[in-house]
Amino acid sequence: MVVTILHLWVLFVIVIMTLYAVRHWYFTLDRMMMRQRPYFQDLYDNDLPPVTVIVPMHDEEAVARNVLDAIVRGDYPHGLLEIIPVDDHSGDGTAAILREYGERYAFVKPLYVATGLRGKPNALNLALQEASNEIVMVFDADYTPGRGILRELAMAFVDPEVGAVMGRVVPQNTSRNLLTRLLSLERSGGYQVDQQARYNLDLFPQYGGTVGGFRRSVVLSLHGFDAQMLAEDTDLTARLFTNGWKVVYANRAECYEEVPISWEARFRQLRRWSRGHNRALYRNISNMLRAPRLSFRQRCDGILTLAVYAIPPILLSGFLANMLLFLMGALSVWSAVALGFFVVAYSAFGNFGPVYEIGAAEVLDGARQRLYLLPYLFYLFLFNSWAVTSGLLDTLGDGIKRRSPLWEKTTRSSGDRNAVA
Amino acid sequence: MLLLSVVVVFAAVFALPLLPGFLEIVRPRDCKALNVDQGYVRDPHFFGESSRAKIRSYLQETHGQMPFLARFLSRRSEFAFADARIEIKDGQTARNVLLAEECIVFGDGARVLDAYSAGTMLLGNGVAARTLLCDGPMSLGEDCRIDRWIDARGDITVGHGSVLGSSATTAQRLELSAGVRFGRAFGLPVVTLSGASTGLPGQTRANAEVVADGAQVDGDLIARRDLRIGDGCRIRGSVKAHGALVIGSGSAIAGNVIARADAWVGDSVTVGGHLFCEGDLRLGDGTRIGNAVRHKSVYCGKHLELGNGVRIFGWVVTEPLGRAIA
Repeated sequence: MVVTILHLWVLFVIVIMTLYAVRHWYFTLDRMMMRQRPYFQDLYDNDLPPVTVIVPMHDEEAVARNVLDAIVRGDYPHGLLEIIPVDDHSGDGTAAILREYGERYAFVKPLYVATGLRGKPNALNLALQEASNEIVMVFDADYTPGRGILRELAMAFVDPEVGAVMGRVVPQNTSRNLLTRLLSLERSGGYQVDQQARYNLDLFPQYGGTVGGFRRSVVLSLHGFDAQMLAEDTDLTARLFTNGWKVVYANRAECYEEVPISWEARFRQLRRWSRGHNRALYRNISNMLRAPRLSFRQRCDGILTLAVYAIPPILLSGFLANMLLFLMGALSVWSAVALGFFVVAYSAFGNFGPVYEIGAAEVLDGARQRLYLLPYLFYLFLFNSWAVTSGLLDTLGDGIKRRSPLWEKTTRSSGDRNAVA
Repeated sequence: MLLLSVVVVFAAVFALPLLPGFLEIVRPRDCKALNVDQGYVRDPHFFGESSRAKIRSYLQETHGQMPFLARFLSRRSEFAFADARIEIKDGQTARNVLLAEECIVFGDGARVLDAYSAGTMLLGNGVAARTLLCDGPMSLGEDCRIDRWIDARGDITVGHGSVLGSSATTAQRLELSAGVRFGRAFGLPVVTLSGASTGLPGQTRANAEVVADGAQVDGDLIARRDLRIGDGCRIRGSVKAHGALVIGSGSAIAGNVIARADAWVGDSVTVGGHLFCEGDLRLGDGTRIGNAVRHKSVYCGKHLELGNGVRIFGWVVTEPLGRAIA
């Protein structure tokens, strides 16, 4: 009985891993060889909608000026612009900086949150109550929006079905160390290939919550952001799709960000993402399966996207099952063959998958030498698996102990920026 | 000893794929952030305005000493200047960048690299040029061929069968005769002068959603498949079709029109917002997009055909060349 269950589990893991491998492969082919779906960036309009830009901040004195200056310098008409930087329980000089900008610009309306819950979802909810415009953009505090990005993102809403838009994130402090270089590769694959392919194929492009926007009325009609949710962006994506809205991806709306420079900070970031993602999966999977407006393909891709942070632990469990089978003397010829497939599938997810996507992304971006670092991603994958598994255990702990996760801010590298290629 | 050898060989084989990356880490050649142009803003007149600024700076640097050599459009070129009028006679070729304060005239069949007139510019029939820039009106005869772009601050009139390269922009009226082909066109408005549309397709697919003639829709209209809007309909919101879209003659749409496949727009249709079509797009006679106050765009992912008397206040963008129907 136990042996049969273990065999079935190994088979299940193989199927899952193969599905992801095929998905990576197909996305890469689509991005490299198929006709690309146009975004709305080529539309020109002198009749732009008024927009509200929300920038949640917690202890961001090192980067607050940079992001606010960048938004103010943009070409979006100031008469149509409202900026709401949210000081979320900061203990440093963030509040003073926001006050200064509020006094300098009439359209900068800082919001100070010193009591109640801390965290980005709650900050967004409070800012949404203050926002006066239907189109709302959100940037993280360590981002540097370009001059034309608000216009590019706002054009997405000419489509009456679009509930949210996501731009491309480009790491700026790439040259800092090996980790930042590897993260740059990951980001390229994730946006240039993965997100664009999902947009091309009308699947499940993700609203990432850091360079993007949404319709205020839609988000409010979905009861805003869940203040307990650590991946409020993924949760919103799922809720938008299940309620009949679309998320579009703007590959040309590129924005610099700072990636973590220490392995410890990256571990904590991934662990938080995993915790939030898995909670979003748990919360939305039944709705995804039942949503009448989703096509079969969208449903499949949505579930695979939501489940991506559950895969490393599943993979690990497959290894353990195989090991148990071996120790029990039940590793028959069939199991050995299964193990062979398993190793191949593992490579496909953990190694070849990123090779497909990241390699293609770097070719599309015109960056070649950095491709030599691809083999190092295998080791990054092991590190990621460890962090992601910790996050999944946190999620399980949250469910069992009925506890609320605390928002943990990613450590900034104090505005460290490097030269640009 | 054997064991040690095996370990060493294994380690070497294991480390081999990491070696090029190790060298890249030790001596980085490609470690900078990807280039994102932080100053980029979408501007239909970008080519024209940036070239004007460049020419102005060259003239200041050289204090009017002519001719001079300078880099223009990625090539080192000789600039030639005339106070008032330059005339290139029929069939002649000008190999330098022409600058004139009042007027440049090209005879039939003339060939020119680049030209900038602070006044007007007149092209005869069959003129070939790389870029043309002028601060006043510009007139192109029949069968002219532009390799890159033209930009004017006054009206542009384009004769039958001309090809306008990747971009033709003006701050005023852009008139396209029948058979003109273009990549991007900006005008207030872009107008087609002649040609006759071939009418709407007789039928859409059997499962198309249909809006009856004369219907009024107060909100947005979204179809999961093909959509056929009848003649004389009034749509107060936006229209989106996931399949092909047909808009009947005389209909008016206040918002934007999005078609995920081909779209046919009938005669005398007015669209208050943008028209975004991922497939082929045909605009019927007398179609009007945007207005003098609200500048909008037409985007076509495949082939665009403009009927007679089409007026587009804003930008027309096609992936392959667009065409005014001959």
